[in-house]
Amino acid sequence: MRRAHPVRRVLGELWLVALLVAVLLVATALAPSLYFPPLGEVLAAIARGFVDGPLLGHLAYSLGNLLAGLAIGAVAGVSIGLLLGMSELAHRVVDPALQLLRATPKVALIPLLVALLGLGAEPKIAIVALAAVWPILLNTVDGVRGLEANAVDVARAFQIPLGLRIRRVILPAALPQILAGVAIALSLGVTVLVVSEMYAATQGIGFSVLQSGRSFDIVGTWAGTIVLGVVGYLLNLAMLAVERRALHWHHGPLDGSTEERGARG
Amino acid sequence: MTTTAAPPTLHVDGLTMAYGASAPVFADVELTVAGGEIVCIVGPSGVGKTTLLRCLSGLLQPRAGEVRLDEARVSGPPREIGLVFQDYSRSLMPWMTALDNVAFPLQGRGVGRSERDALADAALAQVGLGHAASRYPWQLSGGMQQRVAIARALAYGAPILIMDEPFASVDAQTRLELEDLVLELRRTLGLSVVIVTHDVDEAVYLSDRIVVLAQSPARVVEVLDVELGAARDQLATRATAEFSRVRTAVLTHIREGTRPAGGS
Ligand SMILES: Nc1ncnc2c1ncn2[C@@H]1O[C@H](COP(=O)(O)OP(=O)(O)OP(=O)(O)O)[C@@H](O)[C@H]1O
Ligand SMILES: [Mg+2]
Repeated sequence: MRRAHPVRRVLGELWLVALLVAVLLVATALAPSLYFPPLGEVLAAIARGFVDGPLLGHLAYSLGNLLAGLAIGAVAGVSIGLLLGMSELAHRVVDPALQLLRATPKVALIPLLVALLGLGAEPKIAIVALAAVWPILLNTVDGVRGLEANAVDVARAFQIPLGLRIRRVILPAALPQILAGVAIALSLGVTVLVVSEMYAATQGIGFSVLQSGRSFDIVGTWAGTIVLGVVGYLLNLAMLAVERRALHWHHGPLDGSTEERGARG
Repeated sequence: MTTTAAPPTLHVDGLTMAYGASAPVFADVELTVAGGEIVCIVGPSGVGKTTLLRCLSGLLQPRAGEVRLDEARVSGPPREIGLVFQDYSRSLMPWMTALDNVAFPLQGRGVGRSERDALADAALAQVGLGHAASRYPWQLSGGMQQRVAIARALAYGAPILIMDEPFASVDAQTRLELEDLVLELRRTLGLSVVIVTHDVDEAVYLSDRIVVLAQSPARVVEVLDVELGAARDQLATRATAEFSRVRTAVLTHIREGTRPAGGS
């Protein structure tokens, strides 16, 4: 049930992908066209790109920026979310501004960030952080505000100091929501990262896809695109594994046996 | 246990409490619990027992009157009180094992890891859960969760225990054992205990004094001294004439108290 379960699940999900790959392999090999080169060639290009080509370097660069941006967004989102979730006043004052900022499409900020920070990694990290912070922040606020009165009572009755209260009561209670926010941030982050790499960059997977497209290297374009898709999928799997691990206490019937005895009123 | 000092006397003076703008839940409640006493509060459901305990333990601010420990006015949860909540299952942190739940208040007091784990282990053993230390609340039955909540209050080492229907969902055998544990803690550690219970027999068996709450707004309609001595036995004590005298008196007062149109 424990170790084998996720693996079996992945296999169970992947049969369709495998089938699709097989069909594409055959179809593109039998009827090659300019825009749909044989899948075998594309896969070979990926393999080559990973062994001695630039693909690995591009991927490492992109992943590094993605994780750095996510980390910054997560730290900022959780800290600010904690503050706003714990203070009714702060929440009331800041919430309208939050809703406005959240609704602004983050990709619109890319030209500005590039102008400010140049072509290097900084604007990429900044845009990922800017995109990631919102879902994490808003989910943290929700999670913290949803804290059960009972847990608050226990912390008060036993005089748990604030730091410990945050670390062992408030954050764990909000963790399911926070991780859900991180999962959203992850997919948003990948999107804005790739867009920013296509807008102005000298490295990265997005850059490599755009560049091979511009130089009519369709095989290379497909290679980059497929790598992107697979990486996105693997990141999601990793996210699920993290959730599963961090929320193992959450899997039981939490709501069972809590019925109040005796009628009130 | 880390209890050292003798329990302060708990004074309740003219205590009145209302939620928001609604009518008072109780008014002018007077109560004194001297160090080492066991006092039970009984009364019909919804009369305000939990509300009273929440005022005693500093979780709620009363409308009028005051709660004091010796001379110190209670304005927030005091260090001297260990609380067992009525809603025991939701008062455990679902992300902590039984051991961590019990050790958590000690961690809040800055007790080191190995010491607090040892204290928590001992408290779990006292409530018969030595084997379940590493389980999460959802892996425990209702009665087991309740005992974890009791162990948490015990491990906290407060000289006054306040318990809201602490034995409501444990089996009969465990219930008798936990009642005797309360008596033993009083004997060995000199704890004061305030217990809310729906079980009149349990109230008589445990108490030095029984406080009957009734009417709306609730008030103390009767205080009964229980002259059963300190040493009690589940079979012998329940068979005494004093036991049935107090039992009858409590039941009578509960019945009269719930009749419409009592006193002022
Ligand atoms: N948080 C609250 N806000 C408003 N009213 C409340 C609140 N908690 C309790 N009450 C009301 O106060 C009254 C007393 O409730 P309380 O929980 O103290 O009763 P109780 O004697 O403990 O009942 P039970 O034996 O069922 O546990 C009830 O009328 C209840 O509806
Ligand atoms: Mg109650």
